[in-house]
Amino acid sequence: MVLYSYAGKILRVNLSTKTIKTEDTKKDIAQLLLGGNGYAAKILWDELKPGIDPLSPENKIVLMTGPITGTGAPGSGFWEACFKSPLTGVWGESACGGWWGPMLKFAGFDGIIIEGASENPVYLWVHDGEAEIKPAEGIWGQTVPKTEEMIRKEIGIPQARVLSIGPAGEKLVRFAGIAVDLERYAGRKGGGALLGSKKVKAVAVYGEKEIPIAKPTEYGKALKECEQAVYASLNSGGGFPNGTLGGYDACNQFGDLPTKYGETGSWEAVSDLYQNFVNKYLVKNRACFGCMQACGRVSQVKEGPFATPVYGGPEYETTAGFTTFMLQKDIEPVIKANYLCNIYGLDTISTSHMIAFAMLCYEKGLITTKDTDGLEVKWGDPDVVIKLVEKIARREGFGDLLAEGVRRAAEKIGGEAPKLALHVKGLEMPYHDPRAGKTQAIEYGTSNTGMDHFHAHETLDVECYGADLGLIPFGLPDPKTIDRFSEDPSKASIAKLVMDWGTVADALVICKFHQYVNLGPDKYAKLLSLATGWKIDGWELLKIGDRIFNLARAFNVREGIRRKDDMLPPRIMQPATTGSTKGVGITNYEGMLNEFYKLEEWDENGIPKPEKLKRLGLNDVANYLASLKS
Amino acid sequence: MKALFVDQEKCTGCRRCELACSFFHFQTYSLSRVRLHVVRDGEIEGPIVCVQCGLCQYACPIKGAIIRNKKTGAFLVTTKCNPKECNGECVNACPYGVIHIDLKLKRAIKCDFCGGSPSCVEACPWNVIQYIDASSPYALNNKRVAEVRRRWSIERAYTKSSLEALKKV
Repeated sequence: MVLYSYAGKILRVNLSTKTIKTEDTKKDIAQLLLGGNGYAAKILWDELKPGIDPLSPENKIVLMTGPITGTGAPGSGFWEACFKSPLTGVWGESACGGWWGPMLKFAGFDGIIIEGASENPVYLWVHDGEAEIKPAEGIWGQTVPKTEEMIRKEIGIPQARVLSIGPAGEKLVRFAGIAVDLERYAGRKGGGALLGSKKVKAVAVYGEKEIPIAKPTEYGKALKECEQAVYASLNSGGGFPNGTLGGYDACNQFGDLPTKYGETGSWEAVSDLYQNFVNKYLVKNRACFGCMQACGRVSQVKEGPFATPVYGGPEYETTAGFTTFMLQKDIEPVIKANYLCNIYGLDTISTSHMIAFAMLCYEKGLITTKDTDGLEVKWGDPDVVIKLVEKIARREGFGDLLAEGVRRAAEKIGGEAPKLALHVKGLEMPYHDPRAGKTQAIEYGTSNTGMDHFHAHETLDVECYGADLGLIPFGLPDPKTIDRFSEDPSKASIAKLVMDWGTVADALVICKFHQYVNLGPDKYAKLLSLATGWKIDGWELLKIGDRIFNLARAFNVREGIRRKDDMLPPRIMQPATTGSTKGVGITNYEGMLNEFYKLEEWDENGIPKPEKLKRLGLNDVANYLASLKS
Repeated sequence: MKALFVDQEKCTGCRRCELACSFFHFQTYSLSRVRLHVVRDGEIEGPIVCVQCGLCQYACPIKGAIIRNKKTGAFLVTTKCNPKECNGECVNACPYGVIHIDLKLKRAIKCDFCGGSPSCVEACPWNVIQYIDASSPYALNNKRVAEVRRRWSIERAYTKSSLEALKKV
């Protein structure tokens, strides 16, 4: 029986035994949890033993696509990596664009489960419904661009798409990312370290299969409607016509640009940075597969100490991290640092976070030049930044400490360092300031992946920037009427709705930026129905989001996550000292959190109640959690 | 007579043109059953389109397998095409690699201008591909076209990348 719009097969690669199996994509799981993070959550819930070391061979990584990946739907060029995170020790998921995801489906697979660990470096070559494990000794140690080049040459297909890790992943830097197509990254939570621990250098895919669509003619029509909606939104200034970096100035004005390691939310010194970037360094836009927005930026510093080749990025998060967060005001070092992180396979958010953290500790005297290999780690010194990126990627000297992530590094530094560290569940803070919009505080606290701005969703965009994400018909108040500074418990309902919708996006495996351009749950539900032949509406989609969010929460509860782990770091709750958020702190976080727990039907310890899980169709999960003594 | 023109600098590499092409002809979203290609070589990328040069027709050993539509000027593959009776001469003859033997259809496929309103043009968010009169001011003032005309003296439109590719041949 055809499972429409899915490739229908999942590849299971065991590196310990060097066996490759193909399994059918199961219809009942697909209908319950779609694909992407949902399908992967089910696999990892069933197959991972609680409490295992994330870097041990027992851990698994699931690379998943979704039901509409590669079907030309807006934002359908994505793929998801799900695993137990080496950085946080809890649920880890990372979404990424590019062309690799669709190509995996054209090669005949909805996903790849990688388990066990190889003794020698290998890469996977997946093509036309088959897969091979190939030796990668000669490629081990190479940078990401070189790896892609060598693998394409070896397999002899220039159109093949390559997923790879850089030297940082091989060295088990805990926040090493997974790269595809040079500059697209499943950056966060240490997927690269996990692949490195399994000695998987790369996964190359190529295929020419077609994805069967249940009602192709109507699907084509629905797609045209979606296109019109996207163009209408882009023409009226929605979406990301200027790329993510285009929002840099607005973030600065809103106090949403964490500055000096989160002390405040804006910095005057960078007010002309974006314009400078566009005038001097921007080369062109680049889109992922089938994308109309093309938010990706390609840039180059032509000469000087920070000269780079033409390369993708930097995006907003990278730029914020390497500028205001560490009080560094020029764009050139950002482009250079971004380039280095990309070729070495580092997550730019965590890397810049760690460097800023080192600067704060150095200022406070918690570390001295003795700890830093003689480097004077002063705020905003661009040469130090570049040196530290290199050191982290190679785990050299001081870089070895920073490569452990902020939670472990702060504990080793000791003193007041653990109190200063900005993280939730071990994931470093990204660059949106929760003081600028209070729903963001709830997301930072309760996201299953830790302090994460995009899983489940950037809730702050609703109250700060007025994005409705197509959710008004589903109960979202008009964003213009929301007071962004209010800490009323009712904020929890906004967070819940937006996060459920964000979770669905990762299960459909679409780019979340398409939710900003008039594509709400109803539009995607229509596309999904026509593609799969199932009857599904927007409300049902949101329910699926709720289901997956709670399944991943249950995964975390099984790993020992409780209410205490949902608390925010004190430094980010203190009043900001400058800009439009001057004097604004977070005072009623627990009030909002209690309301969020109530809406999610979690008990006072943060454990989902069995009756709710049963209602969502997760009976085995409910029984397991009921047997837990909290 | 209209032809496809490409402004390569604007291309973001999204490949919506290819998706639209395969959907228009086969009701499927595939990157392998297409009649144009977005190529990326390092940082250079852009669509390679059929320029209707007719070399495929010239190379084809089967009479009437490739004919020219008088209205659009497009060279079309007819049902007389039978790859079993030839050595894929058209594929070898094509300088741009935009004619293929389709395994499901069991005959060659190539750009047919979608009968007069090319779907790749409609699909491109950035107007990279344009379907305009080959003697329009844009086309005539297009330096690339002027260069092609000077060098090759033929009434066809080329893309910059094709031009560079041709230089290499």
